[in-house]
Amino acid sequence: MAITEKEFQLMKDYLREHSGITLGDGKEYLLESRLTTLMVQNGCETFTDLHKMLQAGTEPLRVKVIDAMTTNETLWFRDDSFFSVFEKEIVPRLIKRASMGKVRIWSAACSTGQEPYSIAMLIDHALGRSPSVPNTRFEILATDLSPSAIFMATSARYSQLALSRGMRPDFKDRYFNENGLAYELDQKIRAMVTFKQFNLMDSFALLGKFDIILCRNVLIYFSDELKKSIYGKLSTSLLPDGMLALGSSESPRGITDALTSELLAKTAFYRPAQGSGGHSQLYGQRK
Amino acid sequence: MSLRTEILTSLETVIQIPTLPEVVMRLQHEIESDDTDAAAIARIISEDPTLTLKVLKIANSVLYHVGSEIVDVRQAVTRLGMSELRNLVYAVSVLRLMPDLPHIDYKRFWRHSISVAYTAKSMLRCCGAESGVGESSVSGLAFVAGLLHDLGILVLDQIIPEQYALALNMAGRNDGDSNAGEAGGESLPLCAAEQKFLGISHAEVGGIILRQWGMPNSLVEAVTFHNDPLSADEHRTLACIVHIANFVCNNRGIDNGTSVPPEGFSDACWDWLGLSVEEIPAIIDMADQDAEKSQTLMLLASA
Repeated sequence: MAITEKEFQLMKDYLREHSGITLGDGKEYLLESRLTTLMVQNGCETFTDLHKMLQAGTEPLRVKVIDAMTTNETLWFRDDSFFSVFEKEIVPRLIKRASMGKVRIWSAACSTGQEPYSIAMLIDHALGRSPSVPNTRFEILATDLSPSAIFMATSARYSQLALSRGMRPDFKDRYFNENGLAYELDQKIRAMVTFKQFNLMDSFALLGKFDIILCRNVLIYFSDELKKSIYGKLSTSLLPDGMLALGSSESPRGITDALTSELLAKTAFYRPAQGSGGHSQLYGQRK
Repeated sequence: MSLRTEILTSLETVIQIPTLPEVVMRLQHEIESDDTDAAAIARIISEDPTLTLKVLKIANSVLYHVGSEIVDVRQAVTRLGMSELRNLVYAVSVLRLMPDLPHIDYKRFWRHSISVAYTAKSMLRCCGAESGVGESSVSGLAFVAGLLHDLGILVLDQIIPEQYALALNMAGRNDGDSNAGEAGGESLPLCAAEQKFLGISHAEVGGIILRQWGMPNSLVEAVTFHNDPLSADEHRTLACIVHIANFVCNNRGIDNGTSVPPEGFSDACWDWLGLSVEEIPAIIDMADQDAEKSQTLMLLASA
């Protein structure tokens, strides 16, 4: 369903006010593609109708709209600049560490698998240049709250449309096999990732410690109080040398002092504030 | 008159609405009655010689490892059990329904439906007992509910083919063409597209037809709500099973060919069934085996 400029502004303000979701300019398509089904179901002809209905204050509709806007964000290599830094700066260091032992990575809101598989592919690709380190040295834990997302991720079958959202052509050729109308991810990459259902509100104690945790664009929907608690738990789940990656618009500053930031090629990563001991063998000196 | 009203009126009046053979209806009622026996079941099936021949052929095939040959329907009842025999009779019978519709790939459609039927039945053993899967209205009908869940698609394509083509186009026909990706980006889920263009979905139409056929309420509800199972009331468990089985088959590439399948299922429905994500690999394996079985069944039934 098409959205007008005025309607976009109305919806943008509504979402910011009620969910903390900030839509940038040019994101009209996102509203159109994600909300049309809901609008049809609720008999809305236009976005103005939907906005009116939301303003009238029906709680279930508000939740459904926010769900539709936030769940299963499915991009491969979501945020090019992040993955470029990850590939150039982080992966070589992880491989160095893997030559000495296990490396553990946690994708904390993996949705339908794009983030953990993107990482697995980057590592496998880089390992091609260091054949002495087997990819079994890498344990990637991927968790999400949604069984549906975990099902999709476990099956590792993606439509052409799903792959078109950010997949690198060289990786598509190398790691995916066409099977009917879907593309199936190579077993070698799938075997690097373990999926589990997990709620970030729960205790992290049984998950163990990680070299890298990715928790990108998840906490933006949480209150500051919850963010603080989760940042604290993330911090204690990192190894002393470990690093946390957040979404590019996220920052724990002013919410918690459990994490300190560090720039790698202009991209912020976060370390546990205490116990990191300053100098880090894995990641080098603070820049 | 709105299109919805027009469709509802044709469902009540038009004689072109397909029907399952009378044998199937009588069999269903016989199985539901309290004092049924193998002889009565066998008698009903035997009245349809073509059906009998096919049922015996399939009962003796690799699909059922029966050992020594089953030579008559009476034996089939005792060896396969009433419920399994009923499933077989349904599967063979639906394959005679509406083979020449303008927008439906008949084989792909029924391969999907038979796969959903098998997967729905297989999934029963993964569900938690508290979901009520053990009750006969669920376990006995999981196969048939899966088999008939998309019946409304055939009916809509039969009674309003031109308007239905619009809804199918909006739902991004899944024909593997290279533009499907782009088109898919703007497509609506089939039920939403139907609701928008026709004011009624295939799920609702399917439910109406089954009610007219005198099918049990649990079946009617499961088909009516297979895309929105939490709206089902008394028979939510059966609707949830069909919902998940349908998704699983689509995920394995066994779709009905009419539209871009939804990328996901209702999490609340998964929880309702007491399923665990640890079982996902097992469910995937089962569904792949079930897809093979459905292929075999179709070959045997159409030979």
